[in-house]
Amino acid sequence: MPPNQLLTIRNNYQRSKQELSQRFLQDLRATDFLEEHSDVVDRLICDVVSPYREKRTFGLFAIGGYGRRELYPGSDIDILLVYRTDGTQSAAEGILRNLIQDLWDTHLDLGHQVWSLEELKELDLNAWEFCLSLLDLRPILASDTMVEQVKEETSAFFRKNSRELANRIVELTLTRHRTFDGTIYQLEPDLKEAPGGLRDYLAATWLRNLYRAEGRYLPYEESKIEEAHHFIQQARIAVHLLSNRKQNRLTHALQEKVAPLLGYASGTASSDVESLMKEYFLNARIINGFCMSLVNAVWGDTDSQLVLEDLRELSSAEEVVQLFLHALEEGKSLSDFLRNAVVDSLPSLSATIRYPALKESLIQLFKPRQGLYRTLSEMYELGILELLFPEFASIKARVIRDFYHRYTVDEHSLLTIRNIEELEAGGKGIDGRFQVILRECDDAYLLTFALLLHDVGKSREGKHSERSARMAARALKRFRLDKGETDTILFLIRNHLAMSSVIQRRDLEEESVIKRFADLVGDTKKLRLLTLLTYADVKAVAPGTLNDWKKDLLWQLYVLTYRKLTLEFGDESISEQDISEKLLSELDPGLERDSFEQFLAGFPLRYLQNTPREEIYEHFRMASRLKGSRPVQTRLLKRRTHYDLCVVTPDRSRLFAAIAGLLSYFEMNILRGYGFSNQQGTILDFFQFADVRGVFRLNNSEKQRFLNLLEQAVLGEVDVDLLLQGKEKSIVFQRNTPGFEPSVYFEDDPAGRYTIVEIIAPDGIGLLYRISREISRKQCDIKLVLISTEGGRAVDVFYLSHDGVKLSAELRTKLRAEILQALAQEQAELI
Amino acid sequence: MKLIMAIVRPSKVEEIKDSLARLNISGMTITEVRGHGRQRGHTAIYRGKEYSVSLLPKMKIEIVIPDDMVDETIRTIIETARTGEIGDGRVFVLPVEQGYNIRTGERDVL
Repeated sequence: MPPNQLLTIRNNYQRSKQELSQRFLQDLRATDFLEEHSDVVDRLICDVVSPYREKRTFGLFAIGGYGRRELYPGSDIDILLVYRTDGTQSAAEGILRNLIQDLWDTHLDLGHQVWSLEELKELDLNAWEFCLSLLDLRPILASDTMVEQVKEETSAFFRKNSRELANRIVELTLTRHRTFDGTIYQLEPDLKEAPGGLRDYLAATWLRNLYRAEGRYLPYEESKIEEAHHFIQQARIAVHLLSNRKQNRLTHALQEKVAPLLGYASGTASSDVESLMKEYFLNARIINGFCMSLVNAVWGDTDSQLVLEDLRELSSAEEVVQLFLHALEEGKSLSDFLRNAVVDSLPSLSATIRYPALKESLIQLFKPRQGLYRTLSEMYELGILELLFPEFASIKARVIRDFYHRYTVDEHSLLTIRNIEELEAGGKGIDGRFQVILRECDDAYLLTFALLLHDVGKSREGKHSERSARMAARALKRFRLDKGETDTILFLIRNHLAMSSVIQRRDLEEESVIKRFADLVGDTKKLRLLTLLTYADVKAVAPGTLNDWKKDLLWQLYVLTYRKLTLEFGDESISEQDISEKLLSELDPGLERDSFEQFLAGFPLRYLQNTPREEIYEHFRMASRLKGSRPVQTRLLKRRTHYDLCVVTPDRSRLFAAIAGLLSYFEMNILRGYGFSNQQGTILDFFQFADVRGVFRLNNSEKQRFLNLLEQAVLGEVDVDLLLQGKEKSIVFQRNTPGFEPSVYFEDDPAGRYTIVEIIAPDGIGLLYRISREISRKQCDIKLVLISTEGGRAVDVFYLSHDGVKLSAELRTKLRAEILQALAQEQAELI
Repeated sequence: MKLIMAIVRPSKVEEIKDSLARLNISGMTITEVRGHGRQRGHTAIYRGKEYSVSLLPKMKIEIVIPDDMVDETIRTIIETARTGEIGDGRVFVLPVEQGYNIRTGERDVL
């Protein structure tokens, strides 16, 4: 075909596509767009192919999405060319070569398969991808006889292999789901591949056709499934148009653009995205449910389903709850028949429900054990959970856009219960320490009540603990729970963030912190429940949120508080003097007594009391070596969950910042840092950090390079600023979540010697370095830094003093301004 | 238009090709090359004798892309090519003035 003719065809196609896109943006009719887009491509292909058609030696078919007339703006266009193996074969080969080249020059994203009619007789299931694409075969240009012949071959193949093909589709579906951790809850979902995406819908449709399965895909009506499908189609078209290519992931950045495009534009950008994603998850649940009901139908796993053949109807809520209790005790889910019976009974139940009569069944049901999550999820799916707890409806598919919570609020709440269930069951990956706590609780059903309702107040913005407790109080009153039970559940809900807050933001080695927390909790029973609730809650935020480090801290707080609650009179009157004397009396013969005494003088009680004796001797040895040519000593030790770094040096300004900066440069995840000094002015700085990127683990030489650079950085021979620049400017380390305004809060510690500064800022490389540099510039001493990161949000808590006392009001104002300015400057540099 | 030149581990080429295809980048030139970076090669033991491998085998991938795809392409290459061990390679970005298709004589409009 002459180039100018091809160019015209190409331009016509682009123009038509443009028009279709404009129309879609106006009316959002996804099906129209997809079908008309595929019609436009049909016409283009006909234009290109027509000069070659005279010879009538081949047929052209659309397959895959194009065959279904479901052509997205950026999709590949898959075609099948079929030729006859009679005398025209060699002529056909020559023609097809030229034809494909012409189609290629139209710049379509073309995928082509060339088969002879004979070859189609020998279709093989091993080429499953091709076989599946033939399920959507559609003739574009082919003689009637050829269409008939091709259809005959493919139908015969599908008839013969329907069972194997269905099994293959199920296998592929489950494998695909596993690559997404088997959950629809993705922060940046892939609209095509993720569970609940378009591929699930397609798999379900294929299975239905192969199986000719009839019936209701509970609990969804056919029209609901189609609506859900349409929504995901709309979103995928929008994502393709906005990114101008075959992009299927609804990324954070695209969510902001897609929301107004699909009509979610009533509030702030953030709340619009939350509405969009809520709709997405509601629809993905339906598609996923549709798909899984067919998957289960194919695999016919009836053993795991509860069947009650003599059941006629369910006439009361008591019966329904008993039914679920029975299923839970049998370790089964409901059969389709029973699920239908529950859904059918629902309208009459709400009129006749008597809540107090359900109390005992619920208490039985809520006892943590294997299968509870599945039963509660099933109750939720069928509308029963909302009937019992209308409060739960307010968090249905609620999305909180903080780049940290992976799940919607309702699913998160149910997952917390699964975490307790897993703890109860034990097994691989379960922390035995927390299992012991659970075994000691004889009223663990209270925990299920609290977990189910702990976040119901999240339906609105702002602090939710108190609101959740108020809503829960109404629910518990309905069931007439005893006062003692109610009080405990409400205490747990009201304080469900307390332990996380203490471990992340407070110094557990401060006596006053533990005392205050013990006063809040009051008794060991509540302490156990609150610890388990915190464990389950943090673990259900996202996979990996409850890491070993956090588990250790939570355990530490539990143990310290438990001790405080059970042993009222501890030996609190111990002094620096007492410990120093003890250390001196047991001194290693190799160490010199006088200099050791001088070394100890001035270190705070906290250091002397909480540092193992051998460690203190080692620090002394390191300090003694400072008199050599390099006035810095370092020690790096690998622990189970992290690295321990100790730096000993004569008093140096900006020491803390330099170490923090260098750790950032090596991409270490800093967990905490603390420092002590004595009268001689010797500084001991400690850092605990995790090598999440595997820099040290994979490269032995990097550890040595780090220690060399560390020495140079402490001595000011290396410019940490300059080192960090290469990282800061790299696109690899740029945030993919939108930033927010940093904030700085001040508070005095209960003992009154320090000021606690809490800084919340968008996480980024070198953040701690920048903050601590400003703090050092104001001549403040850093006693302790606690660092935690939640999604894109870093929370850095500093314990500071200035000239040995807490910070004055004037200094606080100055420091806040300096920190905010330094962080704003970083933002500006990144833009 | 930009030319992206990536020097990567030979074992990573297929994976990189696949991930670039997901960005709709399909045209590329791949060359076997030798070189060393900061690690300056290493020593290996062969039949009991130590000898130095100063120039390590690597693969060079060259692709030409529109300016607005540079960041995403670099990020994709780095994410895919990274093992975390020394010797993962380099990525360079070079400006390209013009590009022509030899068969059709067309000039690239990117």
